Amino acid sequence: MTLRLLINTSLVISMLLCASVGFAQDNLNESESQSESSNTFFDSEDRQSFFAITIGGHKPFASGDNFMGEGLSGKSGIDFKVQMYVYKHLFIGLATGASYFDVKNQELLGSYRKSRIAENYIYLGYEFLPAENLRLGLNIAIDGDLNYKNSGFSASDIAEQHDSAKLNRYELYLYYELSKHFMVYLDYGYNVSKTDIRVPSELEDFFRKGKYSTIGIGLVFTIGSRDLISRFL
Amino acid sequence: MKLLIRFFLSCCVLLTVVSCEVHLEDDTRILVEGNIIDQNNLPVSDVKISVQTRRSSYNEGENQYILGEGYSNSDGAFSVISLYDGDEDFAIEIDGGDKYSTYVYKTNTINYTPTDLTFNLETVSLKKTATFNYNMIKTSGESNTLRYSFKYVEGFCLEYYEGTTLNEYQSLCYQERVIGQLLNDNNPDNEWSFRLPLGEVVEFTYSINDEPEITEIITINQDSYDFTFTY
Repeated sequence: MTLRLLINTSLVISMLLCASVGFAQDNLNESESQSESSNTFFDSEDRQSFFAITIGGHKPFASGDNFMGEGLSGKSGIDFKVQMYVYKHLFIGLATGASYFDVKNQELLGSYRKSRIAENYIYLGYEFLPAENLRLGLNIAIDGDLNYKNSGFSASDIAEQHDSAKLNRYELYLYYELSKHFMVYLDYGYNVSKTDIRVPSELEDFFRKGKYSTIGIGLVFTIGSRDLISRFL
Repeated sequence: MKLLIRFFLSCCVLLTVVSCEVHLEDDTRILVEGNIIDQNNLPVSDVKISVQTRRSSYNEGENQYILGEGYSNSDGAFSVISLYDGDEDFAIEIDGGDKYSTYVYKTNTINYTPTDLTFNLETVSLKKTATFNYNMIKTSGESNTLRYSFKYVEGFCLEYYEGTTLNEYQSLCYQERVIGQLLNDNNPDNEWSFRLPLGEVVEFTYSINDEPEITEIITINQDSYDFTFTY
């Protein structure tokens, strides 16, 4: 089972789970939570969630002296994530998305004009509460893969060519709470793509790693008011 | 039974369409490098290098697919990063444009992939070319005919390699070519042009009204050579 399939399956299961479990537990525990509420930079029971679902778009920026920085120009991207708060504001999440690039230098990559990178990863992070309506999150991808679909050849008989890579991603986000369960977000992600591309030895350094950043915006929906472990304590 | 035949035919059509698609090697890039000089050992810059698959052995090529492209620098050196395809008609074309001859390296990459994914063509020598423009005009009365031909050396060199060994039998390098035509009342005039290495000769042979053939030797000593013949 590929990571992509695993993530897609898990996303569906997570959404069903969070819809059923989150709503069911919410009503029971709202009064309890309110009575024991406390607010700090690291934790607030009032603002605790069980699941957060984000959907948004981003702009990718390729950088560095590598095949991405020298050969690709970022256009746009989409993101979809589900993160579950395991304990307090410590969360684990599943993400799927895509970044779209134009090839700006075909001499360095091959004769194709477009590259779409499908991103699938599992991430772990923590959310801080710096202000009343703000949430600041930091997360890191613990396992992820990328699939480059290269297209736009001069002849239609060549539909596409694929490259694959492992993903290292570091992300910083800011949620602005419009209501308890509805927010908007702004995020920054730094991505390192460790490719599996077979190349001549003199091109190893150029193709081994690609780097790109993303700046994204979107919507956040949260479900539930207690983290996972608290539900069993 | 008709349904079965239709199903079978549909499968055949589908298979044909699918088999026409070119499937490039995933997760692979190759490097094509070398150096281009002319017949005076001077570097040739700004020459287009293209990596191709499914290329025919003809001068202009036919239905080939471009996998990578680049240009030679001011020293005549080139280094092109390209996608790759295992194909029996894999080629690297060095197109000298209007000024120089064309060179094609061709090989079967189903059986052979070079060490370290690098095709090093080393030094490729191109010949400076000229364009021979000819114009055959009928000025005489009706019922006169002209049968003519031009024999010349084509400004094209294809070298076919099996692994690292040159296969001369399948190579076509600066070969002689003959073109000709019969002109008469229905088709009295003709105008055309072809390219050949500068300094080579064109052998012009003609016969008016089926009389004995006459041959003239024309030495091509300028970039654009205009030749007009009236009969």
